Amino acid sequence: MTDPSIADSSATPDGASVPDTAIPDAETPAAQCPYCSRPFRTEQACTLHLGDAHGETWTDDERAAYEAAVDDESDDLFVFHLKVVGALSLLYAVYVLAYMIVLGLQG
Amino acid sequence: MSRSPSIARWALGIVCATVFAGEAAAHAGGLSGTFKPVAVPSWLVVATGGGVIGASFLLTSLVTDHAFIRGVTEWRAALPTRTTARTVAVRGVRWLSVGVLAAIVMIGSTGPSVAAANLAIVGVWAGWWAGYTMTTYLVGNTWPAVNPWRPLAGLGALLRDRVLDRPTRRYPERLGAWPSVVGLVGLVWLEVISPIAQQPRTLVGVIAGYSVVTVAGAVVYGRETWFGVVDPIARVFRWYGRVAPLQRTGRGIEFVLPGGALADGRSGADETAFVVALLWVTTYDGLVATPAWATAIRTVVGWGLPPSAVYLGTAIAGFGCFLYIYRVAARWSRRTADTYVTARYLRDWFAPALVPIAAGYHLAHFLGYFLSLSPALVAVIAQPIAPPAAIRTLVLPAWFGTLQLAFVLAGHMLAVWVAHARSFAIFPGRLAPIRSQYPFVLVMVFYTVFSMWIVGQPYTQPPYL
Ligand SMILES: [Zn+2]
Repeated sequence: MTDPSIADSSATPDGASVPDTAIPDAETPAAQCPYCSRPFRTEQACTLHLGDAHGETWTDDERAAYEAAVDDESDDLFVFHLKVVGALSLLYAVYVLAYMIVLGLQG
Repeated sequence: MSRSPSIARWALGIVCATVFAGEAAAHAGGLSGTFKPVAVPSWLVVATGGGVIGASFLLTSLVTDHAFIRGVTEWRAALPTRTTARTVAVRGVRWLSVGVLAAIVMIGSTGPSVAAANLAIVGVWAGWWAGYTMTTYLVGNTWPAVNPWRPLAGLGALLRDRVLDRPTRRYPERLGAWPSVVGLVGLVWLEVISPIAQQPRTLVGVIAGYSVVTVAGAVVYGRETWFGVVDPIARVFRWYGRVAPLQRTGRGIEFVLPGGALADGRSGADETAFVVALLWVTTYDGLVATPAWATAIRTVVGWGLPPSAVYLGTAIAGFGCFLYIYRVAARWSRRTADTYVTARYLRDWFAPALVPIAAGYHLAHFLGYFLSLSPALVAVIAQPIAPPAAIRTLVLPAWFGTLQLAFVLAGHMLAVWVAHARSFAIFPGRLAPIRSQYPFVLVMVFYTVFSMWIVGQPYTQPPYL
């Protein structure tokens, strides 16, 4: 009475699988993963993907490229995090000001 | 004014009062007057909610270590369970639940006609839909063990094998979870338009109809297929169960961190639609009880449309609207993440992150309802046939409204974290995953504002019902 072909699809773990991709007609991907053939819009994304997904099987060259890409991204990430801290401070300031004005008008 | 049982007072620290039965039956009535104790205007409170979600995204974006994120979401602690003890307990509970269902149907059809004094009404709405549902996302999904229709379907299957001697029919696979999407929106529409929260006899009719469909379906297509794929209620509890800390696995029961069980696994477009429907119906349930809704519906019915059609139309249109916004966000996310991953894949990939929002909203909506009706629940369980003349309900303190808003926010914050963890699982590096979240966070900020606005509205009886 159980139908094995219809399993509970809400609980199928396949986090490691390759996501579906689609490349627009006018474009050629900048890079493609040699292991799972996933296409990427930038060389850097592909290099980073190698480290995230294929860290056990990669070559020494790929490893070196990955470490360089991580360093590159770290600089961008630092700038990004500065912006995040700025945005948080701004958000905080705006709300403090809003509360002060609103409560001030009431009091 | 009379006092409630001392246990309840001690446990809840809440002053109690006698309330008339009619008021007690008012659905979700515990939500009214949310903003009264605060001098801050409601628009600012609601805007603060949106700001908190934005801020929690910004704070989450500081956590960019793939290994750390995986470590948090994959952290598990096995709980010792004895298989034999579990099997015996599950069997006992299963038949007990059939007894509870029988009692609800019996008291519902022959018991007191006053809603708050009838076991069927109080048991189903306060006990099951409010109280039990909370345990599925706060503790763990026990529905497969306590679902009373499972053993009934088992009996049906026995009859099918012995008497008819026919095999189960094959479920058309292309339908997937779609019947449960239709079933969920349909059930909530029925809950809104029919007096099943006030009239015990009507409720029994709906339970009987659901039982016939469920048992017949499980007999025809097989129990696992029916409860695993078609039944909307089992699916709601399965999704809510993935928010919970206790998870059942092949090895036993495991303890996970909040959202841990939502961080992996991919499901199809039908499941995505179901999750969006779950989010929509919790919103719809609250939306119909706002003054703005009452005004709008009076205008539309004034043009000559039948009210039940307007309610059905808005239930479907609202679902379509939610689905559309989510799809647009997923398409946009494809651009912000600068990726070739399809929008369709992203939609299905991030759908589980929406479940904590629905759970948080359910908690905000129903914890007050459950607590205020809990003395009534105790009274009708103790004396189901001849309940006391004056049914007591709790009056919740003013700060409870603030707590409800906190639940809505907590659901959203967990959703931000689950989506963050999921984005790191499919996008390379550390910036692309964060950028993929921009559209979703923007939508979430607006949705937070919208749902906090609903929670803060005074309860208004939906017109024409
Ligand atoms: Zn690859």
